[in-house]
Amino acid sequence: MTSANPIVRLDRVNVRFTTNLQADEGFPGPKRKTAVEALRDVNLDIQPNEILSIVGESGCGKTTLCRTVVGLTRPTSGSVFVNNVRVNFGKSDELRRLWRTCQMIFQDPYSTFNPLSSIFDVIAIPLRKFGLARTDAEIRNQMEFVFNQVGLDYADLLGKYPTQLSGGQRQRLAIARAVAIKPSVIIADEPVSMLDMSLRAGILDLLIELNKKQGVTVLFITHDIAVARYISHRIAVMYKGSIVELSSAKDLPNSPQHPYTQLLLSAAPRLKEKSNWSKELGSILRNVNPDTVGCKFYPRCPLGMEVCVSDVPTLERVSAGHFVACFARSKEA
Amino acid sequence: MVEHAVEIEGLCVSFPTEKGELRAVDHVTLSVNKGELLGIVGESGCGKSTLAFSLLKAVPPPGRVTDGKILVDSVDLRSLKGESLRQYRWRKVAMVFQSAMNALDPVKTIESQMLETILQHQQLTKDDAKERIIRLLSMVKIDKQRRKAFPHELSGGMRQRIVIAMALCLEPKILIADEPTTALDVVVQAGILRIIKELQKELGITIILISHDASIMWEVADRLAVMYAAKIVEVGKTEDVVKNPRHPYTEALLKAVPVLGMDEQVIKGIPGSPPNLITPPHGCRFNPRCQYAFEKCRADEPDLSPKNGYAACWLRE
Repeated sequence: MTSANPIVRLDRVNVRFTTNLQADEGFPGPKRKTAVEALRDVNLDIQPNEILSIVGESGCGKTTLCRTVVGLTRPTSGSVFVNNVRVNFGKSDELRRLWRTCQMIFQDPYSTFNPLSSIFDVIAIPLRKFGLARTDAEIRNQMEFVFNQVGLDYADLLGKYPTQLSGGQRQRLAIARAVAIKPSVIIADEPVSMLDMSLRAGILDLLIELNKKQGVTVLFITHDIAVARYISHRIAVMYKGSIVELSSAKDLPNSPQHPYTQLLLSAAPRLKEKSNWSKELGSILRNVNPDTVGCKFYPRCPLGMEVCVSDVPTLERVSAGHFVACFARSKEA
Repeated sequence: MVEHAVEIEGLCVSFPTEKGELRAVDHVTLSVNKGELLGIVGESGCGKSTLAFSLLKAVPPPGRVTDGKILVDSVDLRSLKGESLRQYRWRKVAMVFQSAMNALDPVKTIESQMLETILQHQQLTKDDAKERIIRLLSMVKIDKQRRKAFPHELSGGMRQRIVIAMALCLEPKILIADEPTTALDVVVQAGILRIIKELQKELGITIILISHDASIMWEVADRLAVMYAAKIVEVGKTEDVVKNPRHPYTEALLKAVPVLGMDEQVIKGIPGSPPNLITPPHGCRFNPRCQYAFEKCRADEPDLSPKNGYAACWLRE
């Protein structure tokens, strides 16, 4: 997994959220603090000019991973490097330098804009902040360029406010804002999950085009493995805070190694062919005990062994460019 | 002769707005066979949910049914009022609402909510009702211990299954599921769809499944109706509609989403955006986005009929 010069590198990143869940008087139960391990020892290299997707169910830590890369969430331990510079949380001038290279598109296009900022300001503020345009004329020029790129009608939108836009237009505006300052890395957190089916393809193709024509590196988050397969070069599968499988997007759907990846693939809807849906419903819906010490997938796993209860598997290479964190697989190899 | 559980004829539902009348369901004619699972697919704002609400005679005001009729088991919904409507709702037709995650009462346990529903409507002893609750929970694969839980103690997928069980409390003949899996991830989605399919087979009930996602229909729906801009544009057996779509919108919709199992698939968005229903496009409503549109499409509106094989498109006439 090591390579010459990754543009983004996560080195044993852990994020632990603790909640002060103190039982109030009158409520039963002892006072307790609960902790959620959002990321566990995550190692990941993202190469320049690649599109890497992270796939996993809700709550598996996908969004937290994004937030550590752009410096919005501080890792409990471990470090994140962007362009070989360590992301320093809480230092505003360093963060600004980071955001110059690394921009994020947030999941919900309905809450990503300040409703009091006009669409002009949405684009103008980052351009001014990074000193990429000084006069209004310069800003308008660049705005027209990015709006063309993302397929928004510049003349129509100029005087409007985000609330006047449809969901698809908002998502495009969110992309325009991220692209406007020409970052080298775009982090897209489920950018199509809130959009209508007929509009999704346009957004996916836009990201592919940015990657192909301008060499933008994309970290793409999705829960839909079919979308990941379509857009990306490599796919990382996450489960309960850990990356359990990493492979090229081409191979993953054909030769999934980790039992969780296999479950995800068997659950994904397919057209024109019957999937192997006859899997035990129980294993699909089984509730998972969050306090497992070893492999977090063990309670749902059909391959579970003794070692899985006590030890946590790490990512091991099974073939060129294909890594799996599963004792059952590494034993075979 | 197939028996129809639901027959909808020329149904129109309108909402008055400041900018004019918005017709959310426009001359929809559709029948649902007894015991089948009918899928209704369409994008947000196409009128799917309004159509579902009109089957419960519960179109939210100021919206109202302006034309057409609905027959459920040969009973005209227009004739139902007061007590007869109360007997009809939930006993005959029940619904799993779209925002099912929030459809439960946060301060009541699952059991007390279900108990309330059953005892309000049916003459049952508490013990019989509790027995039924346990049976319903096992149908949706929820451990009976969980009936004592409050909604916040359950995961999203479990809450969704509870809402399905609640809809089945009064043993309805027809179940409408409006986007039952939208906020859930794929694994949970697959589980819930399987439960819905099992219910159809085991209880022999008629199910209407509504979704914006055509790809989930393939596994579960017997027949598929595609809705665009307040109209049904194509109806047919799921296999026929998916493998050989006859309406350009259906064709485009199926091409717009990446799906596994189709290698090197090229996906293509549909240009433009769904039309405004206050001033829908002249002629066929899909014509501004349709790659095959010709003159007739801009002038006249095609209807769904046996003549075009239930695909409302001039190309099929």
